[in-house]
Amino acid sequence: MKYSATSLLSVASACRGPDVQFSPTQDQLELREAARNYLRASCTAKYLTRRVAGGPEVADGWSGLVEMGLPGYLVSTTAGGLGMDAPGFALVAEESGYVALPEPLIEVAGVAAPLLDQLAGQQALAAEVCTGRVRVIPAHPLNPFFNQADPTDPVLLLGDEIRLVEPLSGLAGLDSIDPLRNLRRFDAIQGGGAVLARGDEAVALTQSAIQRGAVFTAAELLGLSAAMIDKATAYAGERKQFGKVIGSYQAIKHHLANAFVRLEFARPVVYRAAACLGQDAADLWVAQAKIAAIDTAIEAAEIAIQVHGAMGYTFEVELHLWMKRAWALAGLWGDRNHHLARVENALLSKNLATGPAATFCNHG
Amino acid sequence: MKLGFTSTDEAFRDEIAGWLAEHLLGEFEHIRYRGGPGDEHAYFRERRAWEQAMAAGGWIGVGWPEDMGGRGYSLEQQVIFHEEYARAGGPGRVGHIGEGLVGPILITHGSRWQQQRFLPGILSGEELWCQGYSEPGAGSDLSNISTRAVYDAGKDNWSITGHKTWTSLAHEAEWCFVLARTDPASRGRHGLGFFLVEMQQRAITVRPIMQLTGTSEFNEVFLDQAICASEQLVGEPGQGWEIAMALLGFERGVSTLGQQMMFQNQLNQIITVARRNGATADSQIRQRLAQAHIGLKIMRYNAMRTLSGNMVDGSLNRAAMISKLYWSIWHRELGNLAMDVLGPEAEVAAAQPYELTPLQSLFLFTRADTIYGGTNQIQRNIIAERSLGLPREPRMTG
Repeated sequence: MKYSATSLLSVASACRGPDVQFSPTQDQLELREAARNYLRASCTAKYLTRRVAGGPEVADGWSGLVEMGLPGYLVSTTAGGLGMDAPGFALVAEESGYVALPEPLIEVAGVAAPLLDQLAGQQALAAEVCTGRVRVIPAHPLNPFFNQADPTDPVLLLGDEIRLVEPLSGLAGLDSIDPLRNLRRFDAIQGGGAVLARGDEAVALTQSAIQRGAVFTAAELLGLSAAMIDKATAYAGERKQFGKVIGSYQAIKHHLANAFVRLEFARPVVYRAAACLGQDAADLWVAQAKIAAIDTAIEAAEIAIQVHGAMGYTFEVELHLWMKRAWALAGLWGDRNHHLARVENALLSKNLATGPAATFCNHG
Repeated sequence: MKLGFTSTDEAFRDEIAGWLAEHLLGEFEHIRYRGGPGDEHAYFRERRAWEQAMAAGGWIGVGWPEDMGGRGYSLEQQVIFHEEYARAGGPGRVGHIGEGLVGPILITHGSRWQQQRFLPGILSGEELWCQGYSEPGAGSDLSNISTRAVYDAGKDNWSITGHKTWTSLAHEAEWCFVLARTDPASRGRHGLGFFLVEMQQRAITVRPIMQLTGTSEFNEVFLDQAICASEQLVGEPGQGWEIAMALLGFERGVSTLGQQMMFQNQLNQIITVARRNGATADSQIRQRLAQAHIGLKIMRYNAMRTLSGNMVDGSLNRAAMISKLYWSIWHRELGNLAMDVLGPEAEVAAAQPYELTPLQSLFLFTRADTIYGGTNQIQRNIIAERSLGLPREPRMTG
């Protein structure tokens, strides 16, 4: 019996787990497409190079994202957002990684805005984030340093108590290994600010904010990886040595194939985590997603620079900006060791159900 | 197999260690541990002065024969010299290309005039050298050189035109050795010449290349009819490749053995950080630190084995074929380990603008270890073809 494409699709959908859609919806795909087209046209390598060099002539990158509606992607429509869900935003985060977007999109749209939207009395502030009037940057001790793109941005302090701290004036920023991130030390935030939530509510909101931060950062790492693989593949198709393009040598092409295989195996892990935020085991899935994404990005960077040879070690090609972003994001919202410990703990201390009966249901 | 050094060797160790302890002070105190790989831009003027202090102490060319102005030290003593230098935190040498590459090649292949003209400047630390091999189209495929040298019989000199790249120290060096095509019809390793070219001439332009560390250690060098007197051609026209390869044999020789001491310093530094920030409580970090220690010992024992073998000609080339691949991978992982020990703190620079911490510099620079001096892919081809005798990879040229 021959399967038509349609029947294969219906088989695939019958095999899906009860709660995970590994195929994006039409809405999600259309928004990804729009974000992709905008980001790839506006956030070019040339633009990034100008941003690194600095200077007043560099266009503001945030207003374009606001026009796209991206800061409100996860905010309810009643507060002026797009009312979309986390799996869709993971696709946008991937696109932002692909262009090494030098804006706090994950921080603002992925972490802070949906939290404000869920807080009684804060929808007005969430709406202001959607209109671009204000940009709220989240901070939590899990990140000893956080990316505050502009000193005029207020900080949303997460923890047992959620507070909105006014812009940190007079505090010098710190340079990141990634020249497009502007860091602040978490412990430099003084007390004060308005308390937005306390107790159990604050703890629950903080926990899901951290999960969103980790999983969207993982998605961003996938996008960075895909871009690095594409850049290295393009270079391998142009650069000639010994009279042939270097991509024709197995020593080179096998490297790129390895990076691609790792990336494609990491994608469903990240999508799974994004689809299951808010569920009991989300912590575990998010941990797995961050680990898979870190390993993918670290390997993609290592292979991409090797394929570029000495050029990859210079500012002459822009690869370094993607590598540095990947190295920086690897430590954000929990580094590899942090998340590995969570998986270990779930497996060994919490009697995680394993085996065929459990793996494809709700636990693994 | 020899597992240690003789008492004579150890006495020599005390001598060099003592001299360094007495001299790496005062004006030189702050350049200890500076100027090494990844940091070669730092404190250049001070390191040039240090090179001359080394010269005054008689520590340049210790492995050169005595009749060439050296001290004729044994291979073991040279290794000890490099070990102690690294152990003491001796700054990155600015004269290492002259001492380690140009001197030895002139001693074996140079004319009497070339030896008399150039060796004293190296031994006094007053003339620095850089290397003009790689070109944009000749990296892994080094013999694909297109820089051309044209002989002018009337003036009895050569006119050299071409584009060299990855040239360390080009902006500081007085001299450059340049591989250029003397026979315009030739291809690959035939028809090349090995020239000693003065850098201070209008026909030469140096452009620094910005590295991902935000600093510049190497440069592009543009030669537009640069002049080279005929007595500054080493060997004959057409012998360039043979001489260039003999020189690379020195590059992979004795001085790289001392680099293990630098690696040890770096590992110690990482362990210190891990103890301080509590990373030693992490079982994965503990295991990787132990693996790093083991890898370093493996390199050390291999170096000792190489020294005790039949290496009377001073050429460690065959053993070096396996050692570059091994140490570059080991060192790259050490860079990764440094970042993982630091955790989220690894992201933060020491100061603005973009002043990196030593461990960040280590991490970034070790991204290049598997590339420069022959990529790992080229190293594996060399090992497979020369050590195992496998057929050569199909090539269009060469």
